[in-house]
Amino acid sequence: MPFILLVLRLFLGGVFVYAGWGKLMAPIENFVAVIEAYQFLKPPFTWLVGNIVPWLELIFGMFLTLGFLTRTSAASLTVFLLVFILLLLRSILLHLPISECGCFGAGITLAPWQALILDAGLLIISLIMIWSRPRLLSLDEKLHK
Amino acid sequence: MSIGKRYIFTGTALVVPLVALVIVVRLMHGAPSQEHFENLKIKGPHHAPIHMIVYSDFQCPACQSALVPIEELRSQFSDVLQIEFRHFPLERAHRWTVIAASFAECAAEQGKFWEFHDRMFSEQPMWSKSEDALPVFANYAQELNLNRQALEQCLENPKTLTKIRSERAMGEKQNVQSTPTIFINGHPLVGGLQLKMQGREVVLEELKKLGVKPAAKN
Repeated sequence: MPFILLVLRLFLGGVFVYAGWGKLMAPIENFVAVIEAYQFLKPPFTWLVGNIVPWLELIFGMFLTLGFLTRTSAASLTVFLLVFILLLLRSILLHLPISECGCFGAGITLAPWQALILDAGLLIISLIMIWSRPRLLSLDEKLHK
Repeated sequence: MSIGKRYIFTGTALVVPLVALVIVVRLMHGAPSQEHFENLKIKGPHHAPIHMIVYSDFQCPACQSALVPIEELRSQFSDVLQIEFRHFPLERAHRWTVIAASFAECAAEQGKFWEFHDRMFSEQPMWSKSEDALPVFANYAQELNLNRQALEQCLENPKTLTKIRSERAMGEKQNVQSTPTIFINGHPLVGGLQLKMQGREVVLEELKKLGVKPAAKN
């Protein structure tokens, strides 16, 4: 069981590191345009969110990968995932003209429904992380010694 | 050391190098290049101080919507702004986009790129849903009096597709991820909304930098 939890933790953290990194390596305008496409925020909030979210994804993703503040990081990513899921559901229900979710910058392209399935799976993993406090090969374990 | 202090120290030790790494890699990537690409898909004065590159996909509805702010900007700054169209076909999402780009590229060879461009976008909702867009494009070509033989040769020429792909590759090099992405003297704006909200401001800023007196018309 600890080994499975470790794999899940690395996977969830890795996905967020990849997503945050991809967005940070491109002009911020790209991610702002993604936010604009979801039509739920107006400038300057689109810019504010566009500038903050990739950093938080990268930092909490790295924390989770290394097992640092594991529950807090997993809880933060859970909030992100819930918001992403709601936005994706909304975009599907309102038939917004979004052909690509914009989740990973230029890296991986997913249609909104594909991203919804992925996010739902990641949400389950993040809830498991909060509930189970995985400690195997984690900085939390080292820091508590 | 208390557990709280240990966490603060470790957190700082993780975040600071990570932020530094992102900044360094971004700096190494450099600003989007302004590499020029000679073609016939340019409109506006040749030595204009403002060069606007539009990476676009003929089948993308957002590119069609962006035509309004693009045209508004062009009419406001007609004497200082040059627009260049570059192909960025999103093949996976848009079935006819590469064929549309090929026709447009071949129309460009006969000096009718913009006519073809306007026709393609104005009737985009119709042909993008069609089962076979090829006869539609052929019809546009005929109505624009394109030389049929030259058109067919151009469409069959692998260089046409290579040119489209090389423009897309250029876009990728400039970190283009979606269409339309617009560069005003290298300053990126993604989508019609950003162009509408900030385009004028960016142009004015660029003119100020270059010491050109703004001649904006309202």
